[in-house]
Amino acid sequence: MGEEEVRITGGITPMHIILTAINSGVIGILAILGVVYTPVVPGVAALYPATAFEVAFGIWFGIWGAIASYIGCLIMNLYTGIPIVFAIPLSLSDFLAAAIPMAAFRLAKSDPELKTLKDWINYVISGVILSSVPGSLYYCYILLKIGWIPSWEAFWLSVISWNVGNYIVVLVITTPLLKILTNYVKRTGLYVKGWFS
Amino acid sequence: MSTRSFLFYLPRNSPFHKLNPLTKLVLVFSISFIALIVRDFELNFWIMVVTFILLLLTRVPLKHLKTPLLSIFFMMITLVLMYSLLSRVPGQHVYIVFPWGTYFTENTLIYGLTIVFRIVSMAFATLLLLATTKDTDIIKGLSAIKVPYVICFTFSLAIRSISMFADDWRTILEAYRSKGVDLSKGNIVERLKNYVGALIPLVVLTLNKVKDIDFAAESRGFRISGKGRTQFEKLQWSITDIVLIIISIMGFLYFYLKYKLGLDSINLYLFVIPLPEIPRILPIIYSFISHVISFIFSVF
Repeated sequence: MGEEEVRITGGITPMHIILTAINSGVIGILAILGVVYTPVVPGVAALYPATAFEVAFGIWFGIWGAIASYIGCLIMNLYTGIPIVFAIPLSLSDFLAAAIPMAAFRLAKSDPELKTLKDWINYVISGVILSSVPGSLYYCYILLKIGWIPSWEAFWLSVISWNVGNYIVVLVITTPLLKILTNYVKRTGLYVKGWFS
Repeated sequence: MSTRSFLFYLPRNSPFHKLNPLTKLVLVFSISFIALIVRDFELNFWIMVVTFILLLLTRVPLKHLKTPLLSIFFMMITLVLMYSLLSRVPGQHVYIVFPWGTYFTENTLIYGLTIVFRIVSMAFATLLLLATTKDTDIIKGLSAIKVPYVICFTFSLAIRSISMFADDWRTILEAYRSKGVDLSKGNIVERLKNYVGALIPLVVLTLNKVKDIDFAAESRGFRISGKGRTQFEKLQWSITDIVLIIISIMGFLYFYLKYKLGLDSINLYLFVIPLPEIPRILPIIYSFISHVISFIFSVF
């Protein structure tokens, strides 16, 4: 099958909802593995494989990838004992991790297959470096405010370990995922070219 | 009927299992907000104990809640360590000043433990809900309070798909092992690289499942709006539910008025209602222990 067989849908369809739900499951299970096996502070992992999929899903599936990241993180938070009243706002950090590369790729019209230098630069800046910064600052700031992180020293320690871990994970996992699977994703008809459809 | 659930539900004959999921949701939020409002060491300790007793009353064995309980235990240890090494809690005596500028006073552990008790109370309350409520019932509860159908459907399918992918992931890893591939070899980056090979089939399986479910849903006339859908089972309300909701709301109001607004009584213009004091139990225990010790010393 060729690239010309990309299915273009006019609006939001049940497929987008199902895509969101199923992707949430993948992110949820990978997030649980990260937080259970490499924890730093409650809900923060040194190595968080889910972030690799959050970046890829954001780039491939637009807003649906970002929503899936939110739900996956929410499930992980509940599964690892984070109280429900905190799990709901804290999960926004993973939404941001997918939303930043999603926005950057759509605004710059970059190709997820990373064919040109422009695509690579956009990917490294938005997908690798910037994707986890706002989410980590937001998540750790809330933890600082509610006392789970006791001081600014601990805050920066958590933010740095979060980001360094994510840089490694995204570089090692997301890059081959985008290079190898983008063409397949496009052929399945599940690729979301715009923000929503 | 299968009761398999990704979350921690275990069918038991306990009063909590019979409650309406919305009642449990109100109870969880009430306990969580009370734990957030109260800044007192002793009260937070008792809130944690009471929530733990409620969790035991569910008759769900603690072994079944191993993963979250281990995570909570780890959380406790990390928080105490972080407070010991990286906090600036003021106190009369500074015992250690660390080279990075934080210090340890006589209040450090008290403050750290207050935070620990608070978090653990909230986590136990969440487990109370998740251990006694099927994920489908949580969705039904959300549906009953008019949460849009599309959100309920997405959340429900997401929870169900986790078990599905846990199985797929296990199958892929076993396939790799059967070929003699050791994915856990090498340093952390090498291990991650090894796992990429296993993650690619997982993504392919995921996308194929999305297509299958999409075809199945669309062929059955699935609509995002959920308009025209009927419920096979309706949530039941009992007197116990209503009583528990009233107690939860009253409890929250009591702690909010007393500890957040600092009121000792409520002035309703026509009459004044004094807020009752919660008896302090720790001083009684301390006094009992000191009496026992002095008795032992007097005897010997």
